[in-house]
Amino acid sequence: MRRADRFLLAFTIFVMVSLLTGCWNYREIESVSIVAGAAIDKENDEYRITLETIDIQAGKEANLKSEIFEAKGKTVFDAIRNVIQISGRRLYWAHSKIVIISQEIAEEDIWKPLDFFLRDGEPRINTNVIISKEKTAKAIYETEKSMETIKSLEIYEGITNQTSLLKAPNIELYNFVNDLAAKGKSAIFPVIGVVTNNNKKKFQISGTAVFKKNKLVGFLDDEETKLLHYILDRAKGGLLVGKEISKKDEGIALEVFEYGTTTKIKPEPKDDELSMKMDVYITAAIAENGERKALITQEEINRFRKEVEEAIEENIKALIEKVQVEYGSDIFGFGSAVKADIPKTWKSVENEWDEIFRLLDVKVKVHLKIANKAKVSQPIKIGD
Amino acid sequence: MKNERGDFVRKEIIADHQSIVLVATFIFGSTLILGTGGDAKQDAWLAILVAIPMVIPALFVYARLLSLYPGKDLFDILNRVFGSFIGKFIALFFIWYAFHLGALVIRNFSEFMEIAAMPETPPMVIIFSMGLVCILALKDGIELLARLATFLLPFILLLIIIVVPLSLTQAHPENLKPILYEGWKPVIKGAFSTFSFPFGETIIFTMVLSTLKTKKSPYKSFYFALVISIIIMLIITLRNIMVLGHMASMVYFPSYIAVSVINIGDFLQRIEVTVAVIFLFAGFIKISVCLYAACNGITKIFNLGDYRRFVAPIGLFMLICADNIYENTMEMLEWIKYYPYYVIPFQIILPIIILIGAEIKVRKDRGQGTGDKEQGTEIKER
Repeated sequence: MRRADRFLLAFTIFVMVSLLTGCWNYREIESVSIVAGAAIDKENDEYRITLETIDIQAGKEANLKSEIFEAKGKTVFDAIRNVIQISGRRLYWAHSKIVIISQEIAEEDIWKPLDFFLRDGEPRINTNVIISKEKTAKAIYETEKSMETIKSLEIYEGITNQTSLLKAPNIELYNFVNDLAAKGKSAIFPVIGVVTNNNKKKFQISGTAVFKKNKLVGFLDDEETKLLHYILDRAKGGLLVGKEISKKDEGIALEVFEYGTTTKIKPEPKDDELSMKMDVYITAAIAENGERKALITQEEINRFRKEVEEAIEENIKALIEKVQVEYGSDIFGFGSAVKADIPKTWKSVENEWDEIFRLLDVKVKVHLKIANKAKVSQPIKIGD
Repeated sequence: MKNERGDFVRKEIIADHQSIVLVATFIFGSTLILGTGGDAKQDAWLAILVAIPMVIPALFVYARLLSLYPGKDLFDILNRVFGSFIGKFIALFFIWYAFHLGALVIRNFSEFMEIAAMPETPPMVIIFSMGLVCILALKDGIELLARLATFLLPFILLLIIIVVPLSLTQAHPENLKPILYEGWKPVIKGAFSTFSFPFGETIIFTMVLSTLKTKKSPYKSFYFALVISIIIMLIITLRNIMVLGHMASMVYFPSYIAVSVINIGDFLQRIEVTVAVIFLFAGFIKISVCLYAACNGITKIFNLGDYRRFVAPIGLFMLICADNIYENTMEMLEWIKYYPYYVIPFQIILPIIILIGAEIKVRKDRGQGTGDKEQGTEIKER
């Protein structure tokens, strides 16, 4: 090959490679609306989707603005495509963080609207799903937002930062699917509502939505949710305060650490009776001691520790009993624990697990380890 | 060097480490994406282990065949052992199998790309862009492919070594329990399908690896490759089950989904494309090997000389087949259920018959003194 030919060939390849790349039907970033989150309601047998899109404005400083669109359709996907009528652009779902589902839909059948988000290629299976406690899911997007942020991302942050609060579970779509598919474990989702804060309507993430199969059966408030985290071995921090740790409110707060905090659930079959043994290990520091309780000697600490352990045990027992009696939904995964540890027994009780769960005896034992008292060794003395 | 028809033929030699890498990549290639032993659900990893005792003798048969006749591939052996007519007749089956398998792998690849990344792109576009590269690569011979495999494997391993630990944040070991919940039956079934896909598919290499260096090379290639691929498959299968739980047997491409949920501090996320890259590399090797086997067979039974001239037409035909082989993804998964039965003749029955024939033939040749020296000593050693 002559030199000129070789050059021509290289040039042609270079031009073709740089001009003819790309997918079959590529979409430029300006021609799509990036969805940040969506809320789904039901209205007269039609789904109404309210979604927030991110509007990227190029400039010296990249500004993020959000816009809300709303559309109806016979199914969720239909409603989503109908958004094009209003937005003029196709929606891009790969960056969507949250989906809010109205209570009404959840009570009827949660899976109908969610199927699209698991099945379609664009939405991610670790999308966070939240149940709206308000009349509509849309109401959440009608709250006021902080300056220049996108509400869906705010809510997403709110959910993921629950690790140091534990007042709502952080459940991703695929976790839910697994619990839905599992026999012997019922699914949960976090709950969102609207509160008035500083004369402004704000969203508030708090509590747990309890499901039985694919239907919403009730809610747990934020204190119960906190305990639920301990039962589910999802506690990775957070505080234990007030009534949670003692019968008389003593103004003491315990800060729980991730290390050394774990829960073990073991089924204990005895003759025909099946009972569960739950060991909750908590490692915590005394973070607040407002009432200046004397906690200096080992004896005092031990007495205090016993008190706390008993209080938590009682609270957990009360929560389990509430769920057993009111909802009959095994959100604690006792059935799964039986299946994992004694599969033979599970086979015989599998079909009547609903009734067995309602009457299941659970022995709760809390093991508290007080790691330190933060910076202060003595209770603060008040002179004159 | 020129052959009898006057084509210019380069002597192709594949070093041991190259053939090991080639076989290993071939084995775990599409398994990494499709998963294996799905019948066994959370015991899928156990199914892989149970499959090992079935795989070892099968690989022995394949390796023994190659080692009995060094420098000859399956088609030459058939010719020698069963004579020209019957030998060619049996060869037809193997050509079909190699051809079909190549088409299946291309289709797996295009289905994956369709679902994972480009749902609105016509499958033909994906099939052709993959297939044409395979054809071009084979034009330069199997030797190049072997060298390419040794070049690509470190990247594949690196991606696996980086990505798997990242998944551990989302892993729940309790998903593995209870072990053997439904007894051994599903596990055995899973092991059976693991045998046929991917391990038994290495029968293709009896049609490919005729240019190994020594007589021990076939054993070495197959068994080292087995060890490498089993380790990788076990790691990936365990990861998928621990991360996805029930979902691992609910989705088409578990590895892809398992990697997609990795999210480390909202920073390291959306790295599932690494899985697609692994599949791209490994799938490319697997398709090319199958295409080579088919071309090699066709040129041998029709005495057509150099296979390179037929890579393009046969390859294009394979691409068309890949596009028409299934109606949709559901059909592909349905076919995977029947696949273990379909491949029994190709992977088990025919190889054993051929080996028996070959052993008898070798002994007879030695008795008549027509067998070459090497074969003679091989028999004495036994």
